[in-house]
Amino acid sequence: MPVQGGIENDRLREQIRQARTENRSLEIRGHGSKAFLGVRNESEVLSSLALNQVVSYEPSELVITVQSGLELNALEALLAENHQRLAFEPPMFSSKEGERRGTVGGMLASALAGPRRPWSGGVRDAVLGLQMINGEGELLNFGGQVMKNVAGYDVSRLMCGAMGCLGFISQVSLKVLPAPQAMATVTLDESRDAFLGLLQGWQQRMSPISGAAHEGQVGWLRLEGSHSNINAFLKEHAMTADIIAQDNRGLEVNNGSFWEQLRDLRGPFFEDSRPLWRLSLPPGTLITPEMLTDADVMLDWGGAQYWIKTEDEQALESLAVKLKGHLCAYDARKPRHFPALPPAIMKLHQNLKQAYDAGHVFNRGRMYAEF
Amino acid sequence: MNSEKLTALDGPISNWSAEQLLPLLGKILPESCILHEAEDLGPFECDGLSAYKAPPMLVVLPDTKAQVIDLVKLCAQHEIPLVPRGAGTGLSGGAMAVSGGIMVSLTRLNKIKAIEPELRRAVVEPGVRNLAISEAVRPHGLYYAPDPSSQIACSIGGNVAENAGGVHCLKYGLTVNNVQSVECILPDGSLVTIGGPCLDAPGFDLLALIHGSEGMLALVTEIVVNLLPIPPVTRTLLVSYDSVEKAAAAVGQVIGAGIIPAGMEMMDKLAIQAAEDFAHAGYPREAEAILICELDGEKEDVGAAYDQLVEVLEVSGATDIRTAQNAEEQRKFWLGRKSAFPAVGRLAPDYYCMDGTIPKRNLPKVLAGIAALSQQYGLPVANVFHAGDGNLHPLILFDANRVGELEKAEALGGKILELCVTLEGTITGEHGVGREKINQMCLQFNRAEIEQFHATKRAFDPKRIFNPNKNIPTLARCAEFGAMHVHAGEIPFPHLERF
Ligand SMILES: Cc1cc2nc3c(=O)[nH]c(=O)nc-3n(C[C@H](O)[C@H](O)[C@H](O)COP(=O)(O)OP(=O)(O)OC[C@H]3O[C@@H](n4cnc5c(N)ncnc54)[C@H](O)[C@@H]3O)c2cc1C
Repeated sequence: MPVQGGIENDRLREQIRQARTENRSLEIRGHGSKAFLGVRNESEVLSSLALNQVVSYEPSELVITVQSGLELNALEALLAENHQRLAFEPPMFSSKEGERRGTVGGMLASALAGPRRPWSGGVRDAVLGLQMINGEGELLNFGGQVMKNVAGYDVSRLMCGAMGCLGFISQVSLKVLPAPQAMATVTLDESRDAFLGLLQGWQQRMSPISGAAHEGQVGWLRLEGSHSNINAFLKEHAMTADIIAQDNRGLEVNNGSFWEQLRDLRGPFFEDSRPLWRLSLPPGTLITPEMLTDADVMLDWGGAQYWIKTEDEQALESLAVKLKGHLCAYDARKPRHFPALPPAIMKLHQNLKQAYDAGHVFNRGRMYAEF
Repeated sequence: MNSEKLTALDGPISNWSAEQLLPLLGKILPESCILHEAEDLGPFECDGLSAYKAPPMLVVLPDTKAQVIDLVKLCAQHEIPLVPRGAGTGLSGGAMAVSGGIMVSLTRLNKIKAIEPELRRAVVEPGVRNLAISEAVRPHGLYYAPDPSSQIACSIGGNVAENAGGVHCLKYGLTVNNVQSVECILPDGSLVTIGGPCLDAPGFDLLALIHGSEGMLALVTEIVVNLLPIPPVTRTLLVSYDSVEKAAAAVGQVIGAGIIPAGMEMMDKLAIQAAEDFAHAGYPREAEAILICELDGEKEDVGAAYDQLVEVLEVSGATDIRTAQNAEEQRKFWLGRKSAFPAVGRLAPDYYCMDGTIPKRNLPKVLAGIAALSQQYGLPVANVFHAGDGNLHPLILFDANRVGELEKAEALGGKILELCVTLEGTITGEHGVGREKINQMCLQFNRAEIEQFHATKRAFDPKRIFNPNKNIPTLARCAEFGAMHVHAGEIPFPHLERF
């Protein structure tokens, strides 16, 4: 990769080595838009924000290489100009001023994906390679800019979702995809149960579905692909919806749509003052009203992800166990470690931490108390 | 390729003998699971890369998962190296025996344990053949997408270990993108599940790390694969060109136009002629290169993409564009491609298949470079490859019976991989490093990166029980054999001028 991050990477490496020598922890930070995840250990900030360049972008390669401090907004806009996009639809959380925030580094480290996730794959599925700095301050490159690469262990994907606990990501190469010709949103007056049943049937065959959410008594279905294909689906299932062409400014056409709001956790459902929880569940799981009283529920990912507004943390905990899922608080008032791991798996995590950041420089205690 | 000579560079060598190990194994396994007579061990002396041979001392064929766990515990307790093996179709010597160790073949664990059509998942044991999964789930209108050319034979356990790809992975991804979770045995004998039933699992993405780890981190005993609905419509095109450069450029033009073909394969003249002689697929003998392009999906989507594709191909300078009119013709178009390896194999006593991958824009450059190297070394090279992903499979033709030719083929192969690294690519797209490309790892990675790989291995396997001496070279080996580490953009460009 042409850009090595030069002087800025050298500065970051020095900061890391210093912290390592003095046995201090550093908090890796981009915009801080995902600060509510895990338990923050407020220490000196290791900022990615000066690394904000697009290193290379060849639309016909379906690959973009960018530095980790680049704003997601800027990345999306650049891709949209070329009628491309990140398939996994990364959320951009808003600041108080309403500005949509988030950097590429944070997107990777948190591995959060939007409503298209079940149909498009997650963040890790789009990661081709990256450059990172480990806990010794060494600058390392793994993977590459090509679609297929099995030389050595897949460290790039390991870094994805590791919340910065294994190293500082300075640059990444991502797979991008052409934006589809058209998009349509269908609303259906169905109960959650009935909606999931319908969805189940539609998904046994190939379909243009790329989003499935439900709240109250309304199900939302997103269709993407060619005009004619979306039309055929609507006709077959006697549905009506406006089909929106995704022109070169596809982003703006969509701005403020239901899906963008859901992606960024905005809109009426999310404005409620109770804490917001995320429950990750096996696809197609139904949460019946009896399972959770005193809660508002938004189904996403076709039932593989639920957004829940409730004060009743206890009830959610036991529901997560019962439904073979896991729970995460999306609320800075509820700092929680990540869901507990079986002992043998925790041991592997600790060993990997030792391998990548023996001095526990990065994000100490952020994911788990153990490291 | 005398691999024994080289192992001293790879760290401590085990001193266990078959006589010492047999009684230990006898305590945990029935006799029917243990092979130790020379004639029984023959089939296990190499994988699909037959130039690399090392007869194993002992082969164990467990019937049950419990036996595998006992075996791993025994190996952990006595520090006995253990080499996992699937169907042995690997092309990098990954499943080759190591001295003083045991080879464990997982082919008897070959049950499809569950098919869950509603979740579009199947639970399979590691010895299940790749194609057997798609065959079993077809009645539900589903299939398993990654389709290595070896899919009739290779095992899903081996696919996970190599992160296998196939002709459809441009659109559908590699093994890592199609597996939901794995159950595996760690080098200390503990059984763990990595990944889970949800779309994300808490903690680090260990599932990604296991994929492509070549049996060095964990022994996979069960895999939950994700299935896809069978696309209702498939259209296959055979496109001819009068120059390799035009064909290579067309690949980028198609994808640049926003079309993602399900498959996009390329063959050069030598490969076309060999395939035609072998399979009579109706390929144009006079063409310098062909592309096989496949679109799949729903009727309307495919229809829209097809019109656009033909337009782009016409502009790209194709001399002929043929669309298969029926399933039989479609099969014939693919037959030539799928039998390309054996077909090329008839052109010379031996061939050596490379697996470098480069960004597509560098396809014309790399093909010109390979042609120049082929001339320089005096060995013909046929090119058959996954063009859509930039994954090359140059086939170097040689005769191992001629003194020095094998070494020459190896040297040429090494140069081709070096060229791929200089062109911002990688030494292996899907076949893995194994023993074969261990020296070239030193080209692609620097000392710190290689040390980071070793540290990763130690996190799982501090005693080096699982498949030692593969995949990651020691720094001592890099100092001895590895050419200078080249990093794209920092390489001495002058030597590219020759191509
Ligand atoms: C003609 C031909 C065409 C091919 N085409 C392709 C192709 O298109 N795409 C592609 O990707 N590959 C291809 N290959 C290579 C090969 O088929 C794949 O690498 C395949 O995944 C190997 O599977 P296997 O069961 O034969 O594994 P083996 O060769 O037995 O083993 C491969 C590696 O996996 C490890 N391993 C095996 N089973 C397990 C397990 N259960 N747990 C842990 N580790 C394990 C072994 O230790 C070894 O390192 C081709 C090979 C041939 C001969």
